[in-house]
Amino acid sequence: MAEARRARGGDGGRTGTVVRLPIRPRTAPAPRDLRLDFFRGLALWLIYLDHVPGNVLNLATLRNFGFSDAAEIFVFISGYTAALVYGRVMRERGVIIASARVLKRAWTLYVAFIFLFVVYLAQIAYVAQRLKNPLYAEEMNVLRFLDEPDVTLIQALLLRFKPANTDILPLYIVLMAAFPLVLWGLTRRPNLTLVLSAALYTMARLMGWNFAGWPAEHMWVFNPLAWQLLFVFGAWCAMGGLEHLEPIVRSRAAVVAACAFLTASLFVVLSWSVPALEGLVPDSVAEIIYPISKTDLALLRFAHFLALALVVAHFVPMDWSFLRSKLAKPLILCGQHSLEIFCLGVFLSFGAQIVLAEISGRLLTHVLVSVAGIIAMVAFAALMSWYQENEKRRGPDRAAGGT
Amino acid sequence: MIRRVRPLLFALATACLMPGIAGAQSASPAVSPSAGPGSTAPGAVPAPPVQRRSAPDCTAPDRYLNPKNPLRRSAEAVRNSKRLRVLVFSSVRTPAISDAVETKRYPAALTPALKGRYPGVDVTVANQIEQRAGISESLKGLRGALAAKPYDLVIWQLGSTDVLSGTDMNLFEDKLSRGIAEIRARQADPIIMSMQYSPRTDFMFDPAPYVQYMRWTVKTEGAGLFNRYDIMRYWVEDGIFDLSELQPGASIFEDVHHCVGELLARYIANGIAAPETQ
Repeated sequence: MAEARRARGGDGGRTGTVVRLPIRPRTAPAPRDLRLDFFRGLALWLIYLDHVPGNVLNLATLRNFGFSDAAEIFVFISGYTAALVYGRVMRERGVIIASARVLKRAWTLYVAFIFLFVVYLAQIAYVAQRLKNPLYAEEMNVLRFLDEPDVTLIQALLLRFKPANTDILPLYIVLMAAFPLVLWGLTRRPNLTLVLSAALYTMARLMGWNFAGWPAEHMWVFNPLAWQLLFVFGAWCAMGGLEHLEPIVRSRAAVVAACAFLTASLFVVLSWSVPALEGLVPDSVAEIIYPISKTDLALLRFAHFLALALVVAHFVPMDWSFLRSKLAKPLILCGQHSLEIFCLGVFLSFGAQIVLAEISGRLLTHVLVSVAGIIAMVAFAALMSWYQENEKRRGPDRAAGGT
Repeated sequence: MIRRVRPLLFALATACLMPGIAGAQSASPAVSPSAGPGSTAPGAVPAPPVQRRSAPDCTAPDRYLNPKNPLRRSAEAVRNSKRLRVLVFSSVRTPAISDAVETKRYPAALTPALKGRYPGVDVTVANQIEQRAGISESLKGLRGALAAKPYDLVIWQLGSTDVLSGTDMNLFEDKLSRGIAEIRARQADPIIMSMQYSPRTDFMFDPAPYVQYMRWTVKTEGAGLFNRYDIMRYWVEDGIFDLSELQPGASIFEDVHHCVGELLARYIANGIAAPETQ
């Protein structure tokens, strides 16, 4: 009876009649893998730092040390956690309830995107009104797109116009919108679903498929048809795929190969910015590997992420005591509220940019702005957790007819 | 705890804010009189005659001023034919550039800088602007310009419009490669010039991926890259120009373009003087 009441949202006690619903037995949830929250939190910090242009701390972010960057970590872990959460719902409550919840999540993401779009417009309006620098006549001209709010707003609502720094949200929305189908496939034929995802990736790469954007000649910065592979791969890992990969994760040879690849990629990436290493990549190799497309998730980026994940999975056990320490708590908190923290990060990066441009561009300010932003993100994540705990405590009150 | 931390926070905030406040209180000159310690001394190309208000110190590290590929055609033209026919092909979004503005843009500074560098050589700089051009339109215009007249050296300036309108990266790379190939097919040395560094709008329109694609494409295609974007960033970081001011002094346009022209001439001279061309 308690099960049935819970299934109806816990508010059926008042009528006295109980309708028994066909409910599958609940399985005890697996212990939460804090590594996911930790690394997603780290990805969110890095994304924030990368979003403040000219920030000196950008030099220390992942993209300067290898082909892939924080975006890959974010998308993979998002796929993994989505499968963990909604996969369980699908097993326990069925396809329709799970799909409804996934789509509700996609809607939340859409609302978050529109919120960030408004923040972006505010920033543009501020600069457009004040920028009177003759050197940037071209840029000023473009800022006048505000003169056509009907077009701009409609294109944004259609996810065709995507402000800088928010590109990953439309990708996430599309991935979530398609996720009920993927999840259904993963619960029934996980390997076939992964193969189909890889096939779609291959076709998109070969045929140049991408979603059209706005203005003309603008395609999506994160091609959903390519990036879905990483998301589905994350979900596949969560749905039992990781167990198949266990021998590889444990294999010393695989880890050595991954480390070698990571080192090679480090030197290639350094050759783009360190003058002494400029000639490191021979022209014949350059012709093969360049351009390393982020839009289409180039194989080198995907491989770099896999190597990184393999090394991390090999050396960082799930029960690593550090993950339960106070030092890891800030990152874990941020990782547990990824959407809110991502949005806050974009919002804060606007503020950081204004501080650096208007007040002071000194090195110390770069450091302070970066640290302050991260502190704000952690504080906000802690607040979100507090609300969540509060809501949980209120649960029984509501079930008993409380407010 | 808070009491102990507060003075430290105050001191940090003061340390950060003071230079900004001091900068705001000063007359905020558009160009600092000198590059300050640590900046690179000007190279082989002579400095312009000192008639300007306060001549900007046009410096940049050597790595921005040495083409990775020698300018063989240009070197041959200078050495054997005593001529250097340069085309500067710009893709500019601004609807119209008046003649008065044109005299202040970098091609106008490039001509005297090259002539001063090569006395006795017939240096001509043709300056063509494709308006409102993304890379596709720009390539079409470039084709027309290349078909109309022969050149020894072609400087293809592009990217701003593509960054602002978010041109697809694959398309950008494809057209850039084609443009370089077509310049070379016309027996000219190709130099790609990247977009301006614009600290106020970089935040809204991210040029970094386009600059990266330019680096990769010129490497694979064997062209030169005059990286105006990185050079201007260097100027900002080194305090030579303050480009983040919303309403700077009137001379900023002229000074920046003058320096771009000067450094471009030095880049070309270094490419012509490269050992492989001798």
